[in-house]
Amino acid sequence: MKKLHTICFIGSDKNAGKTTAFNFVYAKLGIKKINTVLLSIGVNGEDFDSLENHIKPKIVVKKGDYFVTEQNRLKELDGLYDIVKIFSPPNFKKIYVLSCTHGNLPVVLEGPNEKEEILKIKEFIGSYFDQANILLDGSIDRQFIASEEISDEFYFSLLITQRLEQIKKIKNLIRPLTYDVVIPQIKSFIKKISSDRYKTIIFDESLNIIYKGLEISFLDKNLLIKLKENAAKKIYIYLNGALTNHLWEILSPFKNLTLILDSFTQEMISNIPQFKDDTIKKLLLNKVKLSGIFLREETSKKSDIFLPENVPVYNLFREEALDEVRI
Amino acid sequence: MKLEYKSYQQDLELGREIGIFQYLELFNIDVPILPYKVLDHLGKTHAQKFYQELNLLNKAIPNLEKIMNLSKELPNLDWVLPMIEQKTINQAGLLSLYYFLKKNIELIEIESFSKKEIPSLQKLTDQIDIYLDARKGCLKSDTKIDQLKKQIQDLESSIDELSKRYENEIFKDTNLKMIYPWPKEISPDHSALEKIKKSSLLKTVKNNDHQLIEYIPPKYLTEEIAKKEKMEKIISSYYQQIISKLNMAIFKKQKIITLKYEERVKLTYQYILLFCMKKHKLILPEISKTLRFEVAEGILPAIQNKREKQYVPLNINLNKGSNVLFGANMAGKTSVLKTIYFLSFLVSLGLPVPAKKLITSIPSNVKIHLKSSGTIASNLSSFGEELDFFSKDFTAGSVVLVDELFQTTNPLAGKDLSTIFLKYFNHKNVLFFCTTQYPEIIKIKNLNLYKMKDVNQNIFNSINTLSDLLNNMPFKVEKVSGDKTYIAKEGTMALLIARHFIKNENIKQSISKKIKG
Repeated sequence: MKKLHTICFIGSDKNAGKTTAFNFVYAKLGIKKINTVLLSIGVNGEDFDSLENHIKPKIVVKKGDYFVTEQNRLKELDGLYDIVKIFSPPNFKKIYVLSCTHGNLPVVLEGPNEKEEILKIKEFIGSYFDQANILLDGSIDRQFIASEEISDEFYFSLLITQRLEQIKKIKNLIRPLTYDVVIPQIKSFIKKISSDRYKTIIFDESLNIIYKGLEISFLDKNLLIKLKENAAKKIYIYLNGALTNHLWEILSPFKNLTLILDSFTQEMISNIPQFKDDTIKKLLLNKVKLSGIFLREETSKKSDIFLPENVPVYNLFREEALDEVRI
Repeated sequence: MKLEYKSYQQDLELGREIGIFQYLELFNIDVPILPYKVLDHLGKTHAQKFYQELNLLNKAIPNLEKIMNLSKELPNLDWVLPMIEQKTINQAGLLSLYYFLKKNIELIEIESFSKKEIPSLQKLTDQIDIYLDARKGCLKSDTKIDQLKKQIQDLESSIDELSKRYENEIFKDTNLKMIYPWPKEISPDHSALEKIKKSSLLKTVKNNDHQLIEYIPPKYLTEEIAKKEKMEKIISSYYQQIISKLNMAIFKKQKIITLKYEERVKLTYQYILLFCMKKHKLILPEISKTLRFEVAEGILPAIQNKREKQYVPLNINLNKGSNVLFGANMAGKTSVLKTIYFLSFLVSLGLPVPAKKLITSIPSNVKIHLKSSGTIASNLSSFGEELDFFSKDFTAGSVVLVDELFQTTNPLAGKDLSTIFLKYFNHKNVLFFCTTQYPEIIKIKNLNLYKMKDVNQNIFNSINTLSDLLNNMPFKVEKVSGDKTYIAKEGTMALLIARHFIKNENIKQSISKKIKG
């Protein structure tokens, strides 16, 4: 069995109920006797939501469990936890502390925003524990969360409203889950040739590289030139950046193109008339193991959002309470 | 540690060309106490002292590898020192400070040159030891606090039981299954809504198109929660008192802690330089008080890496005033300049250098002008660029290097300008070194003249390509007198090379005639 298992939580929007979902899964995991580490990308667990002016649910780390947070978040909690490791510069921009609680402890989690820093923390956790579950409070705007090195499993929290902007965000998050994953040969090829520097890579069926673009895709003039030059061929484009309306307009006329998204978090397409999902084939680089969807319904009106089949859907705010889960 | 230098000190392109960035990477060692260092020109007095200290340290340290390993374990206190000053040190800061003090004492014991401060640092460590369990990374507690912690645990179990009781009461009262304190929403037409509205256990608030249910926890539950919170406050206040006590004690030692930390950072930097110097077989320069540059087997790694075994290190001895280097094309004159520039630049930053021996003054400034065809960026011709280079004043003690002096204009003007500048710099307190193709400048009195050693003329029988020629170049510098004969030879060498590589027979014959004379 893998030493570390990372469960990542993503919310489609502010107040989508991500912390409630986090607490729910954490409570369910509590029954298992495996080391549990709570980690966050950016800040989570703040008491007060200044946006909607109400108290938010807290994250309470249970006795004997572990958490990572920025050292300033522990000011009032001295004496109530053991410090296992301090993560400091040069590898980290801020000071993060991996701690173990003496008793149940409400904590504001604040973790790094950078992939490399999260990986460093995971590396240490992997060396420290024989086996551990990491609950990662993710952030939708950090594309790297979809990387296999970061997350093994996902839970989505979706805010169901009548507002178009929110619906768009949900659709963009859900739609890529229906895409097939690239075959292993192509996946290992992309892993070999890609790096954070390259925003786009074009290659053909024989895995010959046609183009590697350093510029932001929709500003990259050479990208369009290369696409036109190879329009008659069956080619792949690996995209390491946002798939925006503008980029989609550039790519969609090339019918022989197969688009490979690095992450399911990349789609940022609005409801534009010319957007037809099937104009070019789209694939995902990594398989997404979605273990559950949590809904927060601001409206009971039916929407045109189609949730993936075979994935459990919860509405913790409306369903009958589940006995085994207490916080 | 990542080494960088301030950008104004050198053109980025030049830095890349001579491989300064790769060289700085030799000193990359992961040491938390010194994540990076921005190098600046040390200045004459400071540099002399700095190299002197490095030399002494090099002799005084018995086990550099052990010291390096311990230094890597020193925690970074950059974020802790302001806490000490503001008396706001927390558990994490305290633990880092404790480990720093412990490791610092260990290092001082090995270093042997300064054991006086050990008792004072040990006293502070002992004081922290009273309250900190460093092994577990937590603050120590007393029996009373341990009892309170146990009571809190019991209360949590009790609160859990009472919550279940409350939930059952809600269910009986409203038929609604809830888990306290999970939130709950129901639709306005929910069958339980009327009962909830009448219940004393819950209340509803309208939220969008649904009703948000809020808890009205009973007294038996709130009292138990309040009891727990009270105990938590006692515990929290106990630890805050310890932290405050420690903050006061540590604040009193703030100056010595800061001083010792700064000293340790400085020493760690010096250890890294010495450690990497030994690892990569570098040397410390001998600092001369008079303006000079004498190198034995000086290396420019950027060229050495390309030429590998065929690379020839530089041996040269330059003095104050004007120094001139002659040499045939492709003989390596520019590489000589670049090597001197590279080594002088490293010295100005206080770094070890790749050479067998280097005796040099600390340059107040190191400037180089390499031949170019002008750049669009500067909007200047190559002649304009050269004039621009000379329009800046060179401070006393500067090292000024120029490739093909005034080759950028017509030969007559170039010769005259070269003569004027060489005469001028020959009496200045700078080390001026240039390459030239103008034989006339030999007439200038008291110039230091050098030439690149000629290629053996017999090799023309056995070489086919320019690359073969390069492989047979001696790449050695010779000091020469004011004798003009070698200049004539040098002209001949260019003709020989041209004759060998040009295919057109008519031209070949013409060149042969010229050589014969």
